[in-house]
Amino acid sequence: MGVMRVLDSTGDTTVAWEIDDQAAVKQAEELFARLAAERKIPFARAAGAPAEEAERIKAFDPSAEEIIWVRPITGG
Amino acid sequence: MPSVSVVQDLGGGRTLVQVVGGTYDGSMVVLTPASERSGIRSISWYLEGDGLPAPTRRAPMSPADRANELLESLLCQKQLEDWRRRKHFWVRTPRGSVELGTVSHLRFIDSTRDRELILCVLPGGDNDEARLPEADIWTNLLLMLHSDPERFFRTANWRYPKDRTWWWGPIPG
Repeated sequence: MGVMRVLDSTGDTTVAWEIDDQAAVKQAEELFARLAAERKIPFARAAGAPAEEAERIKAFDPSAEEIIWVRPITGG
Repeated sequence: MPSVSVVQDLGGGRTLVQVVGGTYDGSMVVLTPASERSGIRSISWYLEGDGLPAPTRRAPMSPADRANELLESLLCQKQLEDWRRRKHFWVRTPRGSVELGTVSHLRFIDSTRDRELILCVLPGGDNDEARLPEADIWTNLLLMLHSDPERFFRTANWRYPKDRTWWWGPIPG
């Protein structure tokens, strides 16, 4: 099962999909496109892997175990 | 193929059943409603003569706890120890180490210039309506710092530790 986590005021909002569920995969892919259009940044990792093993991705990968969406950074 | 035989309706949506056939033949099991399982499959085993456990419901996590759980899952062992002990941890980059844990006050030990700077970098769009729990700020910065440290340093506002004046990025080379 793949999971997308979008950092937000609740901590994170999660969307999950099973790779053999075409409808769920399509919904996840559409969400991916929407978040990318909002300029959020996705990182894929194996479930529970540390940050140094997370990889910034540019396209939706339905086989990814976990995708974490973060915001672009800015000088404070 | 094992099946279950209903023994008793326990109320509250719970049902006591007995497994018929298979490895667990004869075992008594309490079936609980999906809402009590928080999306995780669970089986409560009922031992004859024991009191039935009270229905357990996982309390919803607060945003702070959710964020903390995610952050901790991203930390290596040393970072996790530091985070749990003092709510700060270091992130190594080719240029030096950055300490995350105090908003707008990130210590940067620049090993290429043998100096320390204080950085300020934040996730964008963090307004009142979209305020991230603090641990999410560190998750955000942690992932960005690991993936592209040079962009992180170019973006940061910075100052010298003993100076109150902030400078726009990039950090001087």
